[in-house]
Amino acid sequence: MSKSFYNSYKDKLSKLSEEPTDDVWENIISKAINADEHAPKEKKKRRGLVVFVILLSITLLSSLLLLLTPIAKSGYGLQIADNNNLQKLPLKSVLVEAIPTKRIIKSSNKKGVATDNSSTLTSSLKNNFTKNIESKNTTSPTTGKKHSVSKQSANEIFATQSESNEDQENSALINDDGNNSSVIIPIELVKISDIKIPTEIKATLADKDNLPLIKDSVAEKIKPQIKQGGLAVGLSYVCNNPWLLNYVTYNSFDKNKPEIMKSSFNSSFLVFATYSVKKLNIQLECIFNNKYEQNYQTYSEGHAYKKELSLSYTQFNLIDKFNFLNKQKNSLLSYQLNFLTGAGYGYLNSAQKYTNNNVENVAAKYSNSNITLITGIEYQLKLNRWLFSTSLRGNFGVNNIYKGDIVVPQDLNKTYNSGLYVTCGIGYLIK
Amino acid sequence: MGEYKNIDERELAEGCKRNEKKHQELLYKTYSRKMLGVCWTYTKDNSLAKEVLQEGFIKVFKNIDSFRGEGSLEGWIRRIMVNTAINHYKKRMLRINHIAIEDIFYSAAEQSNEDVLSEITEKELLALVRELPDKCRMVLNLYALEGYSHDEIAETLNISVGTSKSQLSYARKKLSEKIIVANRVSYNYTHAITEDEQKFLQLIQG
Repeated sequence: MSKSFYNSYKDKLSKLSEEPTDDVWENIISKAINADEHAPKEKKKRRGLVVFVILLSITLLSSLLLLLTPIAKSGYGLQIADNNNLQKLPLKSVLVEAIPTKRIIKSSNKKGVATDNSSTLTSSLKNNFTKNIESKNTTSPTTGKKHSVSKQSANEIFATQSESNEDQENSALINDDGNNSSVIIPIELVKISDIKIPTEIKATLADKDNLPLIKDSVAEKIKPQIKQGGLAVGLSYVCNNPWLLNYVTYNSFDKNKPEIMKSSFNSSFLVFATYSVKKLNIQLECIFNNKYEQNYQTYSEGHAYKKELSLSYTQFNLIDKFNFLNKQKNSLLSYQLNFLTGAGYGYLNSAQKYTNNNVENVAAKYSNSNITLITGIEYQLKLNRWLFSTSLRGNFGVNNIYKGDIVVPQDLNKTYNSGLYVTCGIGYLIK
Repeated sequence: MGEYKNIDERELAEGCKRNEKKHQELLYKTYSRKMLGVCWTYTKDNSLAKEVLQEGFIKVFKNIDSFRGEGSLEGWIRRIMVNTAINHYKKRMLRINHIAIEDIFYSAAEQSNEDVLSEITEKELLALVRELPDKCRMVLNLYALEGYSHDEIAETLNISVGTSKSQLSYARKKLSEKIIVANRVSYNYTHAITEDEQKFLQLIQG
């Protein structure tokens, strides 16, 4: 009986049809065209994500390579003359490394001098060098210039640039002053592996424990000078996981409460300018569309409501980047780790509340200003004048941003902004 | 449009996927009449029905890529229209601070005779259905027209299964009452306007 009622109902209403008016189709066309115009924006968002992933991958890969590649250390190797002797030398910087076989003698691609006034580079070692080094022409991998390594006396040239006008300066001199022998070696990226070194010398060189350490003070002085300071500007892609801290957040951790929070993620762009002096780096940042969101579901009178509160700010950050690790690969490439601390000011652009897709403007209920504290860590790779950086940071709101209204006063819904940010950026050192 | 007369729905969908305007227009022309009828049954008035139809077709064109041809295109479009109408209903419900009619239980004994439907036309039935409260109209339509179970209705409308059942019962009762009243009025009206009765009334009134 009941079925026939519903069947007749369906039969009758299924017959209903009528031609819609022309304006419906026109509206559909116009809105469809608008939708097509919006589509590229979505594609741009996706493109931004791809760029972000690529930049992040490059940064991570390069950092991994740097960590795996042996870094020039001045802790052992050929010995250095006393401070006075070094200061008299005309050459500016020296980085010498005598390392086990197949490793490279390095300098900062500049001529350098290392001297030894101790007796550690023994006469037997010198003799072995001079006796066994075969005459060989090598080519500098960096300059392309030919270097001749010839069998000569210990007081003569050890490795010379045959085509250089500065033969004297570039020569490796081993001065034998009795017990206090002094070795002066000009270096220009000559690979020791290119030179045939007899096994016994390799063994001697490899035995780094037999060679005394360079005094730290001297080693510090002969390090190539890493240029600190300057002004850099750049752009970063920001991906953030915002959290609005209020009673909803609190309730969502309580199983007996109806609120269920959902994480939300946003992306935006950040422009920055960094001024660096020694270890002090001050960075000014601007994020144009910094969104703080709260996405949750709640129940009222048996109905489920999906609610979303979205606050959009223009954010200005002032950050001090404290450099606690700085490694120089060569004069072009270096990387550093920075600890970030700072503060931010956000100006509210819009505040909207979505309830089951019903939008409500709630800007009047929220304060225009948002002050945050910022802390985090940044990894920065410097390639010549280009800076590639990635950072992880947290923002913590200081002020209650909820102004309140007649229904819910300010104190009943205290709300603080917070968020986790991952940035990936590129910058250029302009000064 | 003549050149597209013999086009089947699969080709139509493919054309729409390629964003071809003529295919989109043809799809609209083919299904808009019927879909407007669907929208009427789910909405309170014609302007809202038009709004739902418009929004529904925009969704159709935007999401045509997700149509895999597993069912009929018409069924797929109808589903979109119904879902759009449900969304409109939910938005309305949020604005209206309504009394929970769902708590009232209507017993099966009060159910009306199903034959009452045969006494009215489609348009009359539509007008009466539109007079029903939003919630029970939605439940009745989803149950009778779309073949939803009470579980599905409860999940779709965010209500309990019990509410769905009581709303359906209420809708049937209310609709039957309205049909009976409408038939009586119609009967009285048609007879009242006969010439004899008019004369009789004039005599009585003096």
